Amino acid sequence: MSAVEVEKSEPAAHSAIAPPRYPALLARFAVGLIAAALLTSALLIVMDPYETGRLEPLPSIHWRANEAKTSRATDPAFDSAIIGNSRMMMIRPELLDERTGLKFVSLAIPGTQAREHLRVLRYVLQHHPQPRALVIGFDETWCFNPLPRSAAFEDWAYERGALNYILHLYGIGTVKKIYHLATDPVRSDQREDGFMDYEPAFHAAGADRPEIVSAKLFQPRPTVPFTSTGDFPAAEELRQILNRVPPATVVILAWEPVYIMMIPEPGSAAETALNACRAVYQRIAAARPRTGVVKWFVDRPENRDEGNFLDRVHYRHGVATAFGEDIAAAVNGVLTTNTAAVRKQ
Amino acid sequence: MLFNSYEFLFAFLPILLVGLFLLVSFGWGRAAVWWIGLGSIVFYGLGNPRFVPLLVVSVVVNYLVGARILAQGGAGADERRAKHWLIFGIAANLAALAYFKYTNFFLDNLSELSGWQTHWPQIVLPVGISFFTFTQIAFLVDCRRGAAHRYRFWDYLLFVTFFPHLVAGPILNHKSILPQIDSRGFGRPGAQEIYTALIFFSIGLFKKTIIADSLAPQVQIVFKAIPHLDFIDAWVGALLYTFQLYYDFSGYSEMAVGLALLINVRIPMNFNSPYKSTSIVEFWRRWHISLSNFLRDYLYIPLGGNRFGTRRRYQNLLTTMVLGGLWHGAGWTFLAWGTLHGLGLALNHAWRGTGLRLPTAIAWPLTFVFVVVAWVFFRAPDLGSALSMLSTMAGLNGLPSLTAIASGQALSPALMSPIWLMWVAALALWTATAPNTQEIALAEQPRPAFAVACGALLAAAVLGLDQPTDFLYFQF
Repeated sequence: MSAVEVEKSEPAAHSAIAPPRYPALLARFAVGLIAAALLTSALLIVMDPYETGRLEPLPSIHWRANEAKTSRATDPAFDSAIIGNSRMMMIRPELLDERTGLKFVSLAIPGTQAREHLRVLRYVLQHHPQPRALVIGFDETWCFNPLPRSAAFEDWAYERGALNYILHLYGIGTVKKIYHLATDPVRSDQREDGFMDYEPAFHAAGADRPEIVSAKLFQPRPTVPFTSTGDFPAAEELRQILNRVPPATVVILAWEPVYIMMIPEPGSAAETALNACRAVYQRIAAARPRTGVVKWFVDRPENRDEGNFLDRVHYRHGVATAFGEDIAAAVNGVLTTNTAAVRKQ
Repeated sequence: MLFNSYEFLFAFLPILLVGLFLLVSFGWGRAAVWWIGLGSIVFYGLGNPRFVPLLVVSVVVNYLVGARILAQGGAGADERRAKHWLIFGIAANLAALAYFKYTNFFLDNLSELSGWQTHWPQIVLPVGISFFTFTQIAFLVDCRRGAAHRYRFWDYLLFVTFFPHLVAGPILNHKSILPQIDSRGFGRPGAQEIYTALIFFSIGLFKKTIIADSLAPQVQIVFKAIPHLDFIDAWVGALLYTFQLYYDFSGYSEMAVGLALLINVRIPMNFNSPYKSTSIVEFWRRWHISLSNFLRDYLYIPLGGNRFGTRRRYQNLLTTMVLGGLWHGAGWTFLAWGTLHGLGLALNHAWRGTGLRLPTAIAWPLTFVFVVVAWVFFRAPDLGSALSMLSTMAGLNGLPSLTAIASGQALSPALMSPIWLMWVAALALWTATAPNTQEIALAEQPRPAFAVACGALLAAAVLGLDQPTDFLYFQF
């Protein structure tokens, strides 16, 4: 059996070779460790893929766009934001800009849920205390209790504190992000306004083939509640955040389009639970000026056309445009309706 | 708890070591043993709280059974009673292992054969049970052989639960560990031990977080897409797993050696450049050495070893390796892997018997390819998938044309990018030629440049702590 044998070296007098000086070797080990850690930290700071600007005046590369959207959210070029996950990715900021005269940025982050949308909302308000409009994508996760945590979302990138930020930056996750930003053409094609089209990614993965789409679409409609049947913690948090949003800001709660098989079976407990949840958000919208609700998470003809979807929750361009037009109309609608009321306040 | 986690590296380990050095500096050697023993149980409990009682009961029962066996020795020895206690002890250990590890496999197969549509509750495998069970079986056998002494309970508890080896080995032998726990040197490493420990730990952590973990996602993609693989995809996938498993497990084992050395306990090396082997016999002297030694000493030799003729020797080899395969997991793929290695060993011994020798240029690639092929069984989800992948690797599902290879079109774009091909080539070259960790850490004249480089490796390895993953051998 082999074993780790750490024999004491012979005294120098008995050997032509001086015995190793282990304290000196330990010092060199420490030098290597500290130097490499400092160098790595410096490189990660310079190439910071999150670009929050938190470490200014330290220099950093501008990546044009990043998946976490931390840099987009702080950009003063925009006065309005679209918040959500991949189900809001297809809403083109320029469509809303054109229809409303505002300047939108898309902060749709794939794989996130209500808990993360609220985090991004707070972050936007830190950097844009008086946004002109906030469009928040709504899906079933806004009705969950408790709110799940999305593994893909880096909470720390949105938190305050430079030291905490640097410590988190020092990770293989950051290295991978830098690598992807530098090499992945899809991500580097992401635009300054945060928009990214997911249809090419579905196509590249072969996930838009009819047989694959059909297999994903045709699953039974939910009958058992997939939402909470009681409290909605996301609603309470949203209410508190909106209390701090200036009354002049337009807020749109946009229930996203889903294929009909994602919408609960009529008369089922799932439908009752979802309706109860919607009613809570409806009341939040009603209690605040310049707040509207767009309802596409319902049984409507577009949601029954399988040609409009890539899976049960990811819609194609046609639906994206129609949904975007409805959002723009809602923004303009509340702008017109509530202007007088806001002036009075 | 994982070695490759912030919690371990920046909380558990510093607290444990500071406590240890304080106790030792006050001259409270026994308290130091209790401290590390308790710390080891906490280490296990933080990851697997529900199995702490099982671990403690296992230690207590084996300690008591060992004591009963030892009590039958000496003057007025009662061989029969000692044998009965040994049989009871081994049976109890194997029963626990069988229940947790093999019940579902047995019932699933029974259900399939009989056609019963019964759904059995899934039994969760306690992490490390295979390791602490084998460690203690060896102890009981040695009690019966007269090769063990009556140890203090806390020393024994620490020997079994010692956190560096508890969940994934190496499988320790009481004869080499318990005297170190009972010595004055326990918990008193010198500069040499600390330096050596840091070298082992740094390289081990780097192997795990930077090399093995970077290969893991691609290995998963390949083994999930076995029916869609082309010839080169399949080979690259099999090679990626070959390196992932080695760097993951040897990385863990080296971290274990380093951590133990920080407490001034020397535990055996588990690897010695296995992929440099030029025969299967040599491979098993270099791969998972502590398991090979256990299987040799407590299974192969008791079965008769090579003492009853050539045919019986081959039978014993095959039996040992089949059981060694099943030790890794309850599944037909592990059985196939063990069988393949058993046959390989028998064939290797038969070849040696002829007196012929293959030149290294042939023996090395032959051995390596055999090992890679066997790993396909080890990793594939089922026998059918393994055979499907191997038939693709054998070219039975088509070979790429030279034009496709030359133009870089031989890889499936959705499954494999050329970067993995480069990774495999780099790792193959490095693994086949570079010195291994013990050659660096235990060099008589350590090179100062290596000390600096290993410090830098640790800084790089810490990057991987933000996405910690389990070690592959935790599942065994």
